[in-house]
Amino acid sequence: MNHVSPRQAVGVWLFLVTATLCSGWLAEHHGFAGRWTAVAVMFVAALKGRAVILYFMELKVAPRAWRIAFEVWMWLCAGLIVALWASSSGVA
Amino acid sequence: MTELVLKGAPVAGASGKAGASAPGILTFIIADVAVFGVLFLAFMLERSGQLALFDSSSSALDVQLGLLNTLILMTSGLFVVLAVHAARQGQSVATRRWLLASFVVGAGFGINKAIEYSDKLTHGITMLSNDFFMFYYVLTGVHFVHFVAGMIVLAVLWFRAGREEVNGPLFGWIESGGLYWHMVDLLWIVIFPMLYLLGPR
Repeated sequence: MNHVSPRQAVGVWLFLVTATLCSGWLAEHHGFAGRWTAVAVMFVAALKGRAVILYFMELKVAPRAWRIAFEVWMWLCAGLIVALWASSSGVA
Repeated sequence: MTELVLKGAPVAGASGKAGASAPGILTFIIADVAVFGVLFLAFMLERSGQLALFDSSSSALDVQLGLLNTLILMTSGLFVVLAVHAARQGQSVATRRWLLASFVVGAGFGINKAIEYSDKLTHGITMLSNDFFMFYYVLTGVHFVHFVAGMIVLAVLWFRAGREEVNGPLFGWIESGGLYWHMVDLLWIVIFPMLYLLGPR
């Protein structure tokens, strides 16, 4: 199995930093995405979490069950947060 | 982090020589994050019933400090990845250097949290102020306890890496400690947007 190389890890870190700054900017400029800001922010958070799970924790080369368990947790959290946000504040 | 061994046989990883402890730590981590998942659900359900209060309270939080803390944990996490890589190669000096870097950068999270908590308390905002801040203090407080435990683990690993072969039996501990540290990062990736960014600002 190929472990994550330092070069790959730095690439993932650059993605994480860029995604963090973008979602921070989106949240501070609510007019840009409007009511969809929360959806965008949580989607970016899930992508960031997935990157940490697959590349920093190296679960992309771990037994499939571990990868599935962590990915399900990540998307379930983001999905529930967005669903409950939408049902209260609403997107329409 | 993938010298994982299940049912006694290496299933991933090139060496398979150390790291039998990894599935154990992964079981702990998935159970731990599942508990946090329940807390996230409770927060969102409570928010649904007190939307205006939660949104106005959330807007009182300092997004810049939260962003900085996210960047700190991610950078510290990168250094742990590099420490594990160096340990896998048997490079003791590099392993210790990256563990130390991870610790030093990670300490910034603790300093930021101290600044944030003291600012809130100075303004009379406690966990009794309202339901939002009750969740704020519980979620960030329990996460902070995990952070402190992670910092202790990094310090112990740095100390032991100076006295033992990093690609010997210690490697499993370095790998497991690294996985734990990434969990601290992973939890903050959800906590930060949920507490700080959901409402209009």
